[in-house]
Amino acid sequence: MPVVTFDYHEFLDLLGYDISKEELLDRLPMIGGDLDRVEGDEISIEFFPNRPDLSSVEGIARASRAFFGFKPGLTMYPVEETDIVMNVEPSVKQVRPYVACALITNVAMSDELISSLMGLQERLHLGIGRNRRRVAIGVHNYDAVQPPFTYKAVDPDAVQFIPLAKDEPMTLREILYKHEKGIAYAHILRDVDRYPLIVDRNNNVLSFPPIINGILTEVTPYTRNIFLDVTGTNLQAVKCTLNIVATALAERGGKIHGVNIKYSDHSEVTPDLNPNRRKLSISYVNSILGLSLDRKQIMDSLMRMEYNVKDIDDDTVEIEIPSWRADILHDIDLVEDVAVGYGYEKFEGKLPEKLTFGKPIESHEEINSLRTIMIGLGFQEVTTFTISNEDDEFRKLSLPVGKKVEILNPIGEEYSCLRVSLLPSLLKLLAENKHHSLPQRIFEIGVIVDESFRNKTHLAAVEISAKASFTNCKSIIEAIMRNIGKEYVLEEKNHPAFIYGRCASVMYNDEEIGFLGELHPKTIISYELEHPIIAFEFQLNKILES
Amino acid sequence: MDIDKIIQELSKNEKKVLLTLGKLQGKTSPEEIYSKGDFTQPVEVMNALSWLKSKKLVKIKEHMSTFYTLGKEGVQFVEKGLPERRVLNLLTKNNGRVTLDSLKEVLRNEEIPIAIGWLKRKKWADLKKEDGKTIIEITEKGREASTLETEEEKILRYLKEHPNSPMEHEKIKPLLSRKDVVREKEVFSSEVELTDLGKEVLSHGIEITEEISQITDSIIRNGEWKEKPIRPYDIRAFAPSIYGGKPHPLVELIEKIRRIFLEMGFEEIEGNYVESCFWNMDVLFIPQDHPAREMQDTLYCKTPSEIPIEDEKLLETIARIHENGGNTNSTGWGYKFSKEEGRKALLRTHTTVNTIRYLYYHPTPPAKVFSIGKVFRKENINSTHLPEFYQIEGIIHEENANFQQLIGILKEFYRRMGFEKIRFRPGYFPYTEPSMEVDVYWNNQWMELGGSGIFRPEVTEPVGVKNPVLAWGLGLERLAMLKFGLKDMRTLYTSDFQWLRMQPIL
Repeated sequence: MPVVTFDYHEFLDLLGYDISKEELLDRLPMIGGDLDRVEGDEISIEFFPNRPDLSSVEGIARASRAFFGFKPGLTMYPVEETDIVMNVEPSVKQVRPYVACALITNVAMSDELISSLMGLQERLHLGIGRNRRRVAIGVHNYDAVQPPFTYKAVDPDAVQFIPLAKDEPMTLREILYKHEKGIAYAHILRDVDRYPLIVDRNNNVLSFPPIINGILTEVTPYTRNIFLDVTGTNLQAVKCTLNIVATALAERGGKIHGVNIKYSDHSEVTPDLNPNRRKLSISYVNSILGLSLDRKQIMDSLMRMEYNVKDIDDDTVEIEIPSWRADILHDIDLVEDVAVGYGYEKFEGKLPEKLTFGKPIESHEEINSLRTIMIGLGFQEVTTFTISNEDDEFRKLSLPVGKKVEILNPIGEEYSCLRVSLLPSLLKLLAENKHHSLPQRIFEIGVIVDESFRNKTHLAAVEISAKASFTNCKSIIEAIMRNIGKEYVLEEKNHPAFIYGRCASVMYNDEEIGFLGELHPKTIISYELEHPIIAFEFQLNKILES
Repeated sequence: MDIDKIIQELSKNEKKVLLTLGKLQGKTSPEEIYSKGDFTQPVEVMNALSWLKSKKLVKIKEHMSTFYTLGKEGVQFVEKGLPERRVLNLLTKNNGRVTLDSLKEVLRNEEIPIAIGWLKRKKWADLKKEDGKTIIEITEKGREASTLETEEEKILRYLKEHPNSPMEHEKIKPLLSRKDVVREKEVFSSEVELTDLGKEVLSHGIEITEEISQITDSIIRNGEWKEKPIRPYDIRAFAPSIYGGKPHPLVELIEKIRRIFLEMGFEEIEGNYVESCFWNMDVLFIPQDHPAREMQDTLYCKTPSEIPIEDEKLLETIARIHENGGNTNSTGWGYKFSKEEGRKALLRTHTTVNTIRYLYYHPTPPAKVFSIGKVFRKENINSTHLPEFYQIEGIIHEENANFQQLIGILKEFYRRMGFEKIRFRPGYFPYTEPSMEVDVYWNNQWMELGGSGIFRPEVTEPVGVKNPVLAWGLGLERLAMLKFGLKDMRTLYTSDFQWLRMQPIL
């Protein structure tokens, strides 16, 4: 989640009201966010990804104004009409179909505001923008270009312009290969053969979305009028993103002007800051929250969350939703905001009413008895990783590589599959503990994933000591089987990791449920150990479920 | 220090050692104590000394000294003489002149160059060439030496009679330069000395009485215990550590949490690690372009690469929910749902996948269900992150379940987990609304320890659940780190045995 860092005094300026730093730090997380770090007057807070409107200090100040009760309800920003046109050519339909624009005049641009704006842009790209695939933002110096503008898809080799951070013209294709932003985001355009482009009436390039802007419209501390373009694959997200950026600049004193977006078959004016409307039932709110809030309390709570609320009838209120909120999918989202506006700290809590009975998974209780048996036999219980690799699971045991769950994108070679048995995990742990005195006796009851990709619970144990011997191991197996009350027989087993003639299958009802034996020196060495080892492993499902 | 009590707790051997030490002016070697003190075995003295040391009655200083013994060649030399001595004797017999060849009479071939080297070095003889033959001629110094025993020869003779003797290093140095003539052995020796406390105890008067130390079968049977006092022990004295087998602290913690859930009337469930994106993500209303679904966050499977979705109708319903909300009054996410994406196999990223499956098979309330199981994320291993870790999760499904009850049950649950003071903050999870973060107050600060909420209608309605479902979860390892005071999460899985031995179990 993106972290917003701001200065306490800068925040107060934007808020327009006074609140002590202590109270601010105490109350801010109650809007929904994690306080990340506080150093002096520098506050870092991480808001949740469903609230991109809180990814700027301007948005946080606006939400705080309502939440702290200074100015509850929806903030209205006037949008002045203009005759600026953005023509959208049908060629973008298959590439990146949507665009929304705004002109913000009277902006007191400064180095600080530029970096704050770039921070907001970056966080929106990452979150709601899905790393620019879904939404990308271009910020321009309006005075460097002339409307009308055109959004179109072009041949990658047909157009060239000087991108930001370069001083020579490059074609769109060259940008994808040579420009660092091009290299970073080229994958978004991998499947198309025409690339999106925004130009002005003189064919000057504003931007090559979602990759990079032209140097022509670069924003400097002297820029006064800002042109915003937002392009993307999801119209709602595109418009919402534009509203977030435009209103953030308006919070800084900018004036918002509309742009006429002309598609081939219709046109609209953006930014559209008209609130969405939704009706909400008071009894639904109370049933979900377990409260009996009256109409006034619900209205107050919602106003603290920046909504305007109107009375409809006894059980219904109509809600005006800020146009920068993208997360109101269902009435339940409004119910949460009632709870947040009301204050989570005010809920006292009640207990559920229905009687239910506790019920363990039967085998877990049996496993606990087995743990007691193993501990009684002097074994230390251990827990190890489930993620393993082919070498440890098969090759070091001299086994042919068998079927297992393989990870497509492992964190590293050593963590490339799920384990098929517990024995390697225990041997690896012995190797980690080579520097400690012998004897060492450990066991684990843990999960392996079998050839049908299902979880199975195994029990495995190893002993490393100068005196470890097959007879030793057999005594332990005898003790275990005696204590779980199962009749069994041993049969010779030829397992390549064990010494020939010192390895046996544990047979129960004519089925192998486990094996035991003395490890072959080559196995001991392959795990970088150097003392005799006895080992056994049981498939518990074959004992416990019968 | 109560001298009488110290004396009372002395064993018979300890008393004997102290008395012997007293006789030997309070300072001697353990060997001396053994030989003068009427013991049957040296080990009796050593054991008694280590006890006396722990009682601070004696000081033991250890130092290393070197002892020398004849090597194989040395034994030969004592018998036959040094090679140069043998040549000198031959020279004396032959009027001070012999040919080089004739040395074979008294020397082995390999000894010849050694003998000539030493003759020259000691200036006992000169070598001359005459008619193509090498002649050895005795010197004046050689004549003098022929009747005298050298220092080296004395040492050799001494070592033959007194093996394992200390020697001045300067004196024995020339012999050490010869191959296998003398052998060095380094030996630790110790010196025992009475401390002031020891002297005080001794001056108090120690009496050796017949007393029982170790109780034996025969002492019990023959009634000896009736006649003799049983010596009291110093109960503060050192006892060796033993460890035995024991449960792993993490598993004990899991068991404790299982008991809490079971006592609160919850049913335990479990599931498989390998799951489809559909059940792990889609059914939980996580949009298919959600950042958490990307390859850098979730571990996907190469084998199996796909998992079939059994319920085609549900797949269809979920697709509608994502695209436009289906029949749920939701707007949905507004994108084109990919069924193919849903079939992709992954390692489950949360145990909520078990929960939602349970609800799908058991849509009728009431139900209280929990699970404690491993989940997987693409995280590199470091002190605070692991690619696999346990998630603890519980749900309550009942008619009229509500947020107020969620807070009530969480207070009860966390209280049973040992957290009296907890607080709730707004949170966000794609599949719950309202959502909450749970903070616990621990070691004088608030720590985030869990998330919770009510399942969204987009999650519950498609699987046939008509009432609110309260859900919460937390990470076991973070909890374990708080409880065990650990700084490094890896300790729980690549455990150092010493940590396991020393770590108390809750």
